[in-house]
Amino acid sequence: MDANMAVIGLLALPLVGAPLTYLADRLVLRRGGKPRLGQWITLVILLLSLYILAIFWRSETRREGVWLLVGSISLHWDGLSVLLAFTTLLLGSVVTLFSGTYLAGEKAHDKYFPLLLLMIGAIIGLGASNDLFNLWLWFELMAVSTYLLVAFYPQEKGSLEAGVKYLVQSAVGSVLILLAIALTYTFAGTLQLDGIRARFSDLSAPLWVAGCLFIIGFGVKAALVPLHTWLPDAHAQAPSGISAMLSGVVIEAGLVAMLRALTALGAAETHWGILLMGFGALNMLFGNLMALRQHQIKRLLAFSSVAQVGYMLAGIGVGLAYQQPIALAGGMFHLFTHALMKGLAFLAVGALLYALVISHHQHTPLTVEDVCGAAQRYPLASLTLAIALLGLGGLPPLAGFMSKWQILVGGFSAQTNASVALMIFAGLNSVLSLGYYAPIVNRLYRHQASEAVLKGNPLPLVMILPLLIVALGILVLGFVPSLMNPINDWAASSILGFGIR
Amino acid sequence: MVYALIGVGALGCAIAAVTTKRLLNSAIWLALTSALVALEMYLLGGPFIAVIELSVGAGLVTVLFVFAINLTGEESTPNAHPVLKGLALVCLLACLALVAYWVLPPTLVSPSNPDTQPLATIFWEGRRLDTWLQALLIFTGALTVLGLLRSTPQETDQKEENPDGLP
Amino acid sequence: MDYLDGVIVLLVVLGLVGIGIYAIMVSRNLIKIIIGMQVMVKGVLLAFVLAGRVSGNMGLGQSLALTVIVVDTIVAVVALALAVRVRRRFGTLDPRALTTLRR
Repeated sequence: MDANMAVIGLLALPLVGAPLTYLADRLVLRRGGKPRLGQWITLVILLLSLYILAIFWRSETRREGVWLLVGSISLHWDGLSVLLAFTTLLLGSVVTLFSGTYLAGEKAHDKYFPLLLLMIGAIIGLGASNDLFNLWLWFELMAVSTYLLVAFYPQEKGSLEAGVKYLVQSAVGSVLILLAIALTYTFAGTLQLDGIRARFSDLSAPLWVAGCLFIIGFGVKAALVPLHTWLPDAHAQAPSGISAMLSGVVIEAGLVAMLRALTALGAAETHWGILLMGFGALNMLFGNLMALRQHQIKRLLAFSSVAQVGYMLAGIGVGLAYQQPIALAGGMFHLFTHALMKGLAFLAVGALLYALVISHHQHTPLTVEDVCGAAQRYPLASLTLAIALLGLGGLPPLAGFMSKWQILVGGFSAQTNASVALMIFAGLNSVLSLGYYAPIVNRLYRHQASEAVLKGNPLPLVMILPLLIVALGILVLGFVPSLMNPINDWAASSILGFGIR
Repeated sequence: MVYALIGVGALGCAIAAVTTKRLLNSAIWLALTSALVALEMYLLGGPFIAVIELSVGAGLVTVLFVFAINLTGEESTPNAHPVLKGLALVCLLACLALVAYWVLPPTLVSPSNPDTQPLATIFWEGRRLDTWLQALLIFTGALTVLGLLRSTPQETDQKEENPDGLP
Repeated sequence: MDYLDGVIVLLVVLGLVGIGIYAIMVSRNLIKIIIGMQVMVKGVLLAFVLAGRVSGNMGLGQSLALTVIVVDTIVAVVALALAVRVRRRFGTLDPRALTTLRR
């Protein structure tokens, strides 16, 4: 299998697999069985995709990337695509393994895995698209496939509320993106990303308008601060596996799509970079302050995602504004480690939620008080949750520290007032964030077991296993962060060296 | 001049659609907006898309809205706070004026070269990836609607003792 | 089509999008909000046809607009299904009633 075939396989496999998964589950249901087949088909498809990605990585021609031409639409498989696909597939497989038991007894069980596969396939395609309109279409496929997953319990008021907010905001954002695409096409006369970059070589007014609309439109998905209001509701109300996917890869996919569009309008790259730096500072501060006030753990984690996006924005912004590949690679590394850490945090909380609440057939949210002393009865789930939280807080031997450190190094090496100030601000915010991560760890280990914990059901091994896998990944990356360097550097250079074939 | 007349008509219908009190009337005004937009598209030289917009935008979508309004029932819509309305309007007009001021100056060149390829070729051949993705989106949408409208046993239980239900 | 006509159509596009955003901001009814979204989409459709005309590739402009029609009809259907569900559960379509999560 050569690199071209590998890329085609990666793009097609999850999308073709989704209807098959649905069909298989329907057939099993028709026979009166339990719909477990879909989960295993999904897992096999995702692991196979990971294997194909490994084949691509080991092929000799990979460095130049792969150009595919489907009709008149071109796809460019470069470093950013690889990073996004790797993150998505990795987290997706873990979530699939985790979700089967979590959802047992839900009626819409048969729709969960097809939609999950569609979401993953859409994100992989989004990373590869080199056509502005096609990019939007992948983006929209991703959005539509998450609507039901967010409003997964339509009998619950909270779930419906989150679904409505999410749908309205992201639909409006996507219409604004369309307007920007139409403007770009009107004035550039082409939809190819590299073609647009060549045509829009001067700072003209339509370029500014289109860029601002792109930032607003994609910013809704990427949770830039004034546009983030759907996020805490959606992430807290969705099933925990989906919370992990939404926080771990969907908002990052929004960010990647925004980067693709903005780098196409590359004449103003410095300005976009400075704008993103500003949003980064806003996101960090606001996300942390809001997270400090939360009592429900999943809401707290959701707001912490807002803050963590701020770090990515800071790295990416400095990278774009001052052409710093180190900062950009740091931002990309943080994208990856955040997916692991936040995915693990949501899954570990989901495991506790399952043991304490859902297995009693209830749907109440899990509060900070509920998990007091959970370490006594659920040592592994608590340990992994602690690892994830401390990693998010940026404690030294964990992956989160390494990626934040790389962003800081990049910011300082840019040697401008703005970037150095932003980095100091980011460091202070990191300390601030420990103000809500550490108390949870404290409660897990040093408090008396709460009533909910005493009444909790035991956790099945199949839910603990995925937690352990991700926790191991975070530890390994903390000690050997250079493992991810080739992918990060490639992703950074494919953003900065855009348009060079 | 024709463009301006039809455009003003479309804008008027759109304003009526969003300000009318009754939902059913709103849907009908939306259909009219759609029809006028279709006419404008026809004048711009897109007869095919005009027909599609007329049948889907003015036809199918209106039917969907009427269907949904039947399911939910007419509901007297409370008015938004006038201060909020005024504020929204001012913000919006300012934004639009800014955008218009920025976008308009460069030359909107008239087309000199005729159609390069027929629409069918572009839709089914050139942009066939888009077409495949549309098929997937339709599948996704169907799954989502099925999932959203499925009956849930808990809800029927709660409905009888629903404290915040219908008056 | 001369320059002035292009400007007029562009203004109509912006006007439709603006009216849609206004409706979404002030409406107190979910279905009204969805109607606002549809008004915005009409504006964008016109923008794509105009873009096709201006860049001299009417086929591409129409093809893109067709795709947008399909996709946004799907989104409208999903949104209406959600609205129906909200009405059944909350007994109203007023988005201000959706406050169980606010704090």
